[in-house]
Amino acid sequence: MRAFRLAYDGRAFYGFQRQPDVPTVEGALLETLAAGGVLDDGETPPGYAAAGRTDAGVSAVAQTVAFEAPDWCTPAALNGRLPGSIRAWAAADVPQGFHATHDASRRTYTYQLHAPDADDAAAVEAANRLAGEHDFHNLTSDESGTVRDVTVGVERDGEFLVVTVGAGGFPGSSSADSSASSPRSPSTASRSRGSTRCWARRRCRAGRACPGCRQSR
Amino acid sequence: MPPEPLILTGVNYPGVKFAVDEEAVESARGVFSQRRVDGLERVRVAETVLSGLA
Repeated sequence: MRAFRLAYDGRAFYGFQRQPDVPTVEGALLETLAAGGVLDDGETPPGYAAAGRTDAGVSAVAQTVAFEAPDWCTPAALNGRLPGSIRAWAAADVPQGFHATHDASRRTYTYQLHAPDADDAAAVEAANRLAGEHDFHNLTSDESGTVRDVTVGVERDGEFLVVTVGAGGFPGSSSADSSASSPRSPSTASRSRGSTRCWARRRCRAGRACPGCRQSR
Repeated sequence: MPPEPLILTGVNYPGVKFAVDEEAVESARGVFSQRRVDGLERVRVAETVLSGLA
């Protein structure tokens, strides 16, 4: 299996996920793979998964998709067929069973908020209230594994407030950090480095019993 | 499609090392550099219009 990093300008797309009647990033990618004989129209290649489903108009520099790819399928080869607004730029061989959604230990989003007159101190205070552990049970049908460790950073850059939000991944995905291959800002990298704790420990911090974590403290 | 100033900037996978494809990166740089220029031109046009308003 191989994982690919994708960068895209999301303005031309109705989000990442394939939809029947409107252009999407995933739709363009799967059309490219179909044209290259990697899959039949309307299907996905074996093992296919993506790191996240960005919404309409949202861009990416680190979107990641993985699937059973033939040898010729390199980032440059994909770019030969992808629309210009989507560019593959890196790849990694990954083990069988790798899942681009479930195996991600952390995702980071950056919001370029045009706010020339904003109260920076108030923005930082609001961000600090959002940071930390939260249980997102109400936003998913999952019965467990819904606690995430969230980091929020706010930095002034001219007329913009740059808001960087990071969150841990699915339980079991966290351990070493792969930041060396991830084009994040230094400030974001430093903030998220200490956040790849084991899932069991996060549950304990949420007030639930975990003998394993008690032993590790 | 309304532009959304939100970007997925990082996805980490423990133990996975991505190899940069230089040819592909060059292609991406070309595309996004041109989009940057397009955006800067739009800003300059808008600023000229704004400055010309009585």
